[in-house]
Amino acid sequence: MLFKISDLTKKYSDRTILDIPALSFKKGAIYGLQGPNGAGKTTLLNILALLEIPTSGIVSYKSESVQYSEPSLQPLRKEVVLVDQLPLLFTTTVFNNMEFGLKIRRIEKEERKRRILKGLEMVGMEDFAQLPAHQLSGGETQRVALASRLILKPEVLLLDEPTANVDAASARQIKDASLMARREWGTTLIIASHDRDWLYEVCDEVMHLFRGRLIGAGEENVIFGPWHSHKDSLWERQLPDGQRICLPGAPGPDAVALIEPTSITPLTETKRDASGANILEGIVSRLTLEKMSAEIVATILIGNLPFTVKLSTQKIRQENLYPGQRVTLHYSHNSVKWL
Amino acid sequence: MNLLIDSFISAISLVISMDKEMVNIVTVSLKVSGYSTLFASLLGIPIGFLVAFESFPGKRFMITCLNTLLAVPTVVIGLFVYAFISRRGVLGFFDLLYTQKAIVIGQTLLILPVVAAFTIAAISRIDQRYRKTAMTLGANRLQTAFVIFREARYGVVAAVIAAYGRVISEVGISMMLGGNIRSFTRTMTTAMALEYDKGTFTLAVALGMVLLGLSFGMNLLFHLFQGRVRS
Repeated sequence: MLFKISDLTKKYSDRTILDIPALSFKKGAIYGLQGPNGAGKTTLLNILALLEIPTSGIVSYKSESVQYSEPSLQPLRKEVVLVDQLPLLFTTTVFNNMEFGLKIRRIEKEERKRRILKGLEMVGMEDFAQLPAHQLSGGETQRVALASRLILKPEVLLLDEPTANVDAASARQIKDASLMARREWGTTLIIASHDRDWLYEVCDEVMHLFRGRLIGAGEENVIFGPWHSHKDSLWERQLPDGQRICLPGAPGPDAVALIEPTSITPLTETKRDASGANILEGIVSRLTLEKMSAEIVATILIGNLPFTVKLSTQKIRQENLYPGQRVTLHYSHNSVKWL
Repeated sequence: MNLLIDSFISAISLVISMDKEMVNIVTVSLKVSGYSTLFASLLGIPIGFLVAFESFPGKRFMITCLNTLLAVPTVVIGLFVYAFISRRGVLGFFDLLYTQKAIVIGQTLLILPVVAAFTIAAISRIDQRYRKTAMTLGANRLQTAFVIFREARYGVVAAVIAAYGRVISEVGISMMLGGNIRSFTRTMTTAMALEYDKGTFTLAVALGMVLLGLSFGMNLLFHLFQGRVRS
């Protein structure tokens, strides 16, 4: 294992930001981190980048427990690098920015130059080397920041929302360049992103962080309260389009429900079974192939609330599902978890 | 009114002809102010940088003290240094009183808080993400500090210029510790005070013009660097 985390917590004042009992990352794999804003993704990346100290717990890197003293951390930081969500470049030229990390690693001048030019080429910015960094746009800054990390040939590259603030063309270049690092140098990638499709497309494993805790493989349907007590010990919540979802055993009105995507079955209109209460109607908005399981992840919109459903290709064919089609979702009460 | 106009005309001719006494006074002023700014910068910039960069108990208290010292009157510093360097003072055996060195010591103490406080402000304005960026690129503590300092460089230069502007125009310290000795410790401000006492305005107005010119130059430089900080 490259990284191993046990009993990790991070608190700011009395507020717990992260609480992860166990987590590990294998060398050379690509990991995705999903979760809403404030879930703790950035804090986890900062801890993995050895820029923040956990409140408690152990972080091991290459089987050795990380010692939080500056002389111990600095050599490790040369192997684990982070690209921030809103990266900054130093107020000098693009070339000098890219050269900074290489100089620290005492790379020879000719090699530095060669790597910088290659790095800029990787992100499609060959002509920008001598430009002042503060003249770049947000997308260009993000690309230069990524390139300046890639040319360090890191063991681990941590990307915090790398495509959140850039246009589609920049996003494509950032995605391609990140994957090239894994291909060329076996770099382990850990990517925090809201881009579910991209994560499912490229990641070997996707994790879902919610309120500082890992709650699953990233595809769980998270349904917030308020819940109202209903008959037969069921709890009910009205969805944005007026439909009602009924689930058993909510611990309180503000509880958060998790429904596994494998426990939801979409049925086409003709096969609808209207007998159960656990039925919702929606429209298929997206079908994505999940790299790790070779299954299809279907996004079904109920009002404007997306539900994720995981299906085999055979089931997709059988139900003849396609984007735009109206479907009825049947969910199992037994698969509901509460937070 | 005629007195002022006549003095002004005579002063212009003094400035144009580069009057020997006036040049001497300006030279002494520039020299002592230059040295005191240099020493205050050598001490104040590292102090300001460390206070801003490091976290330690009492940091806020130290910043408050430095800010308070910004308002100390020059005569208080003059009196304080006098107590040390006069013949009866603990440093009396150095015979510093009424020398340019004495003025430099006093002026250095005067602007040390200016340089330190402005440096703290300049470093504190730097986005914390610069530190994070340097660290994740593998920089050690010293290299990270260098990055932060480089980002704050215009602000630090502005601090030095502001300090020089303060010191070139002060009169209390130069008078009390320098003694206004002709061709030796007479600075522009002490000479102007003396000329006023004598009731002869020509040299005073000429020196005032030079001082104003220098202050204007300093302010131009200050705003130039402040502008670069903002941009």
